[in-house]
Amino acid sequence: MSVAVHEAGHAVVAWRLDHRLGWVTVEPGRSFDGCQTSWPAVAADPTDVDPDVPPPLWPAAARRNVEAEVMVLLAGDLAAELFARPTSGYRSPQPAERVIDQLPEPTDGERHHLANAQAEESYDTDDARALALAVVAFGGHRLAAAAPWLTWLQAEARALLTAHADDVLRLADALESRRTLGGDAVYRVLTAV
Amino acid sequence: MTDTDASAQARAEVAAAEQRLEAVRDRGLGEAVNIEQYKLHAARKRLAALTDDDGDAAA
Repeated sequence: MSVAVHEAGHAVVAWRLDHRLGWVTVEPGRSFDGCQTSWPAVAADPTDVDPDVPPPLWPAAARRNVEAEVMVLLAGDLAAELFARPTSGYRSPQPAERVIDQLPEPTDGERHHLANAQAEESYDTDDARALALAVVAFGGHRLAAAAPWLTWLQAEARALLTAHADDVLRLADALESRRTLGGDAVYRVLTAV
Repeated sequence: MTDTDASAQARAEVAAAEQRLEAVRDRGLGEAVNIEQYKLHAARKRLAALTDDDGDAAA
């Protein structure tokens, strides 16, 4: 059930952020336990994502898309923690905190370069993609600002999941029984109330 | 590092970024394509800051 809740968490946050919904599956692949796809409804020009400019000064579509992408990435583990973990007192590390722990030193350009190179090699996990986006967004000299940015995005994603807990659990149930859902089917499950 | 060295390194970074973008496109990694596009733009911007229109090292 936790994989279904994880993938449903990604999908529900993507849906609430007006992303187009693609397929979701809980069938494991070579490098994943499940998978969810979505993309922004309004495409942004990649050149607007400028590491030399603070995200609040980017064109709205660029900022909205990158922040939404990070929120969707963080939402999987957040949903699993909120809705699928046993209440034994154990709490896993928050996904944003894991990503923050991997951020390079904010004032060291060479370490920024290395972290960038490492992130390039691994897009197989949600954490790796969120780390890559944080490094891209904040560049080498403002990485200190990436930590509060990630914490804030995690809080936003958690608030969306909490407000739409019923949607997460309904979609997770559908995934448990049908294993894979196309975008239209996901949308029907989420709007069938 | 001289300006010429920095420009050569920046050109190498652009070439590497172009290869990575091609690689993630080949693998069908949609989210990674976005990220690599952002990185390619950043690498091109760094190169542009180091070179003039003729591609020579900036003074």
